[in-house]
Amino acid sequence: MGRARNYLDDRLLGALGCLVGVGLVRLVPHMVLGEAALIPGSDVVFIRGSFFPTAAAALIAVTGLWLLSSDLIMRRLNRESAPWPVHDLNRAEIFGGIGFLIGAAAYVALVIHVSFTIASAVVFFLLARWLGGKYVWALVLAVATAFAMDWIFGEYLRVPLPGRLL
Amino acid sequence: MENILLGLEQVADPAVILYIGMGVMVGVVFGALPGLTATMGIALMAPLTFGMPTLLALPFLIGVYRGGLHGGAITAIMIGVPGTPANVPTVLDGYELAKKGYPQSALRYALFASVAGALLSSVLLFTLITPVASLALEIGSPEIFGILLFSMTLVTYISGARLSKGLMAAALGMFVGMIGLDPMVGTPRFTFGTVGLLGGVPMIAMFIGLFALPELVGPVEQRIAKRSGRVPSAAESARPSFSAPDDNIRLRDVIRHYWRRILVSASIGSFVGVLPGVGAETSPWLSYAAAKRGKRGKKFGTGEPEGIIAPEVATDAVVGGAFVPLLVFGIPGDVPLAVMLGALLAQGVRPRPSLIVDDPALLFGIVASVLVSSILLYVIVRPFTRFVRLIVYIPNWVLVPVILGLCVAGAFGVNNATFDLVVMTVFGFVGYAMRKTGVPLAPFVLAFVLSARFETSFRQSLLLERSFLVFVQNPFVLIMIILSLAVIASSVIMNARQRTRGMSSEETTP
Repeated sequence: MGRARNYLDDRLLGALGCLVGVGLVRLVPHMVLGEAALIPGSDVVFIRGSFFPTAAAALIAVTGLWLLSSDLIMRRLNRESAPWPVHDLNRAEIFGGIGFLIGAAAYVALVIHVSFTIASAVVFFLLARWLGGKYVWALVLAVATAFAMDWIFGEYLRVPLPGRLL
Repeated sequence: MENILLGLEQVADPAVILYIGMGVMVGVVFGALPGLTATMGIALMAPLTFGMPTLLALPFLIGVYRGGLHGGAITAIMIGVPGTPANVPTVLDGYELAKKGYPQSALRYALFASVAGALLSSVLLFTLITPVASLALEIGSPEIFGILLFSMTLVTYISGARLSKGLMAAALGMFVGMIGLDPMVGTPRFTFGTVGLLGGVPMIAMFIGLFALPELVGPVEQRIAKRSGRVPSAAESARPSFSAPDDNIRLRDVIRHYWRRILVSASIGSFVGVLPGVGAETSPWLSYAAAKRGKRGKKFGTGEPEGIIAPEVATDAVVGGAFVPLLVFGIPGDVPLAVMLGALLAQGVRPRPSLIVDDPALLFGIVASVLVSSILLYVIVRPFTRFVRLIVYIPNWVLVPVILGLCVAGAFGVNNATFDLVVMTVFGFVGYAMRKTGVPLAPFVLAFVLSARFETSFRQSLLLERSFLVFVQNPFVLIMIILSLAVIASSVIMNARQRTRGMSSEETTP
């Protein structure tokens, strides 16, 4: 398994960072509930519960702005903003990767609502076939692995998986 | 001496040795497989250990870590692809020696180097843990805040070339670490009314999502690339070789010829390991660079054994040093130990300075496990060098489904909660997005792990002294603050110089 090293445009990442950071800063007062003074009965209020989340969110926004502005400045100066290729993206691979993760999410949903063993057997078989495994071997692998995990986790590790069959 | 004997007594049990051995074997497999890492191995194996007694579970995970660090050298040597980021320097000479027809010799040099580095740093760990823990008992919240502040700023050194992305990752990690209950007053923060988030984001499930799921995308991308006719990667086009000669390299010969290099590299690795946040990826490069200045340096890059020994000794020597801040302060030295910290907490073990007083048997049992794992690495891997290299050729259609199943079962197994599966899936997307955008994972993970204590120590310091001057009037804290500012300043300057020169540098995410 290799790793693809394709980086999105820093402008987009920077802008996203700014949006996320600012959004979180705005959200903190609504999401940090029931703030209280650290010293009850005292007027002196030190760092409240919202301070650090706000600081972290602000730092996300600031670094996003830094990334965005440095990218724009470097482009203006007509230089590569990063020492490695930023447009070396393969669309098919990106869609494939996202598709795989969506498939993993669907697998998790099946595990939760149906059964780990059944969902795993089906998903393992489809995945093994797609990755180039022969039909019979993929079927053997899928069924054996699904049932083996069900048994090992349930009997040996005492962690019954959802919808346990064995 | 008493403590050493106490520790050895804990691991003298055959069951403990068996579990460490199993951990080493599992770790070697994880490290050896391209795309899998020691971090993933620990993250996936941790849920399996929660039903075990503590002094079986933790030695097992230590074995996984040990095996994983060495396992990465196998892919580095056999197919020129580093199994873990720490094994990148090993490729330079290890792969060259293998291409010359001596893969088994290269593997043996790597194994002997790993064992030597591991043993030396384990001895150092035994030596350092008691005085450091005793010293740590004397310090309070302001000093702990100073140490954690310095650790957080060291994150900028592991950001790679883009400081801004590293800081963004650290800020995001800190934010995610604060989800849950306020540590001082217990009010919910960003829990969205969900019971599952009251204890914070489930750590192991998050790590599995961040590290394991995005790695499984790699074979998918390879498959798509193959179908579209693009050039296959080295891992795909490699074929096993069964005709490699056996040079019968022996451990005592390696020690006799390279003992100076081993000592220097072990010192570098141990020192780097003690520094929180710097980790196993930096030390092999430092050691390789130091060795290159030596008399055999001119031959580096051509299959010179010292070019394999130097980085491998340093990589394994990091472990002993890194366990010191982990066990005493709860500060992980690198990303795999951050995951190990999650496992420690799940076992009910809270690393703290007083652990040496509260439960010395456990503390020294863990320390002794680090030593024993070094010995077992040699005992287990040495006889199977010829066969261990075949691990790298396990096909993706077998690996990916099995690892995916382990991810789901493992994430569920931590708390028996389906909510953890949702967390794992969400962070799978987050981890993938971070890789594609070049945002490093290591600062995110370290900031996440340290954020709670960072905030608590800061607020406790203010509560104690009722003034911000507590951070300036304390000489130790002041020194830590100055060092932290120096680290940030030098990172900014280094980054600016690199960008001006337009140097190309590789940014890898663990």
